[in-house]
Amino acid sequence: MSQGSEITAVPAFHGPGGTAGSTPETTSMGVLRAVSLCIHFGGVKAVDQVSFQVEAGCLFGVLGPNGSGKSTLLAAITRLQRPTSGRIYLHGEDITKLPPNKLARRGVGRTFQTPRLVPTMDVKANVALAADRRSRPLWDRPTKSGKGRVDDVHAAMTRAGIADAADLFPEEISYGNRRRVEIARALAHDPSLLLLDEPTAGMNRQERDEISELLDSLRKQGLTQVLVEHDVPMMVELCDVILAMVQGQVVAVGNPKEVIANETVRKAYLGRKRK
Amino acid sequence: MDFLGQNEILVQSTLTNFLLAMSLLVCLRVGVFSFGGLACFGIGAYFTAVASIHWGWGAFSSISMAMLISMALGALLAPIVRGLTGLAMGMATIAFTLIAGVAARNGGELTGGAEGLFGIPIMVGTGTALLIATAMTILLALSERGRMGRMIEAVRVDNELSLSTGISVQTVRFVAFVVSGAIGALGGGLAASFRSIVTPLDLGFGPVILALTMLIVGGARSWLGALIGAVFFTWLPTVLTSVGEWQGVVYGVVVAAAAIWVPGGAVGVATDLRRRLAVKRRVRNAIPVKPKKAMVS
Repeated sequence: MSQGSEITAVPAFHGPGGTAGSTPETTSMGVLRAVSLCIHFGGVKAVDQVSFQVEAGCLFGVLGPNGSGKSTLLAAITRLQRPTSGRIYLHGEDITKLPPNKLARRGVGRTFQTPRLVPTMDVKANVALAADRRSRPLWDRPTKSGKGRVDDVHAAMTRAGIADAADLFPEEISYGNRRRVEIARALAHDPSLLLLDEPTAGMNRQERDEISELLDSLRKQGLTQVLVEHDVPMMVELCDVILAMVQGQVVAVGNPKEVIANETVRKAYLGRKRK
Repeated sequence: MDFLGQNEILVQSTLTNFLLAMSLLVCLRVGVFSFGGLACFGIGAYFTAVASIHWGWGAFSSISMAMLISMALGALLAPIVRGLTGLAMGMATIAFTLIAGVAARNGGELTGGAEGLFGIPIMVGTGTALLIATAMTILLALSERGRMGRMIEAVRVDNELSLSTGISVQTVRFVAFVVSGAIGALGGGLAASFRSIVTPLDLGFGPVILALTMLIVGGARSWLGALIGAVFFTWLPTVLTSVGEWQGVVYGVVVAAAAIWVPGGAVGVATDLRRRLAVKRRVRNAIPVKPKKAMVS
């Protein structure tokens, strides 16, 4: 049996409005579910036997030191990385072998560890990239005029608080605003699940607070989010559930305060034992 | 009209070179360094020659069939080289061009062997070719705008980003290979008809270097770059007649200077300049971009 399944002992935490993140033993399907996920690079076990479930409306945090496998886990969920073994389910549907572009079309939006924008396109065009693909097949598509798409893009930019920069190019806006553009692009999908890979990395305190506020507002709007972060206080304050990873394995999952207080987590992440 | 009459051959060469450059451009725009379009240029030229000389086909049928064959070859080539990028992709597709050249050289009576085929009937007028090139340009220009333009640019810049926004990168690349093949064959078919001759040299390194230099100088992001490059390198020799044997040196210096100092080509310079001016204008007008609070519905 893997270390991950041995150590996980923190019970599922039920967030506001009956939402919850939980261990996969929970009977409901959840928005996202990973079962015994492994990603191995030769002998290196980047992700090893990771299982979890994210319930609707939950802000689910993934915490861990550098190299713990958080971003690899996110890459596997978005299908940019092929899992060695294990299964991933979205709304109960097995997406383990679904191509990444099809997954995006099924309402999974994501941001990257460093903002990835098209430098030759302005902010609204960058956001429109996702709105363009939001469509269903031609025969199953509600009439969507060009104006309708423009409205979608504007709505996403407004939600992310970046509408004023619509005509600017990525090089003209601050790092924090580039993060917002990425979030706006992910929102333009009209996602049912938003995956955020260290959205506050490299930001100052004010920018971090602004992003925290944005994520909190999205949670209040009922959007399910998976947040990969280093910022422990932010994670504790924001997340409904935290999953802690060390060396590719889950060491704890559940209520943020309890996870942070977990001795294994403190030892691995903070480098000291709990007093 | 007088100008066109006096320079008809140059105008025809400009059009076929433009199509040759566009066939490469279609792949480069999606970030694929493929010479497949060049092979299709040669295949288009040879097929048009063979069909018109041996089988008595007309211009429309021979060039259309050449385009269909090239599109099919593009469709076959795309999945074979799908895992390749950069130089590896360039080498694999140039090998495809050279293999087509070897086939032409060893094709016996059908392809005319090492000497090629002579006496291809002139089946297409300059005006018709101009119309065809204009139509292709309009289609390509339309693909650079709006939704499709954004998709193509995203695939060129970042594959993972494209995938995460729902774009099927493989499909975009596949279509690029097929379209590149069609445009290449069209250019080759017209070139064969204009010149009345096709030789294995049309599938050699000469056209490879010509097409690359056209895009280096003109720019590899837009149809306009292909046009500028085609005009520049088709008309350059006539402008440089006064320097005699130094022509090659001037040619080399222009290409090297463009590659070193103007990596985006003429169009890249114009685009950068336009964007910088827009940024300066915005800075002068001092529009502060302060993020607003996220909207909570």
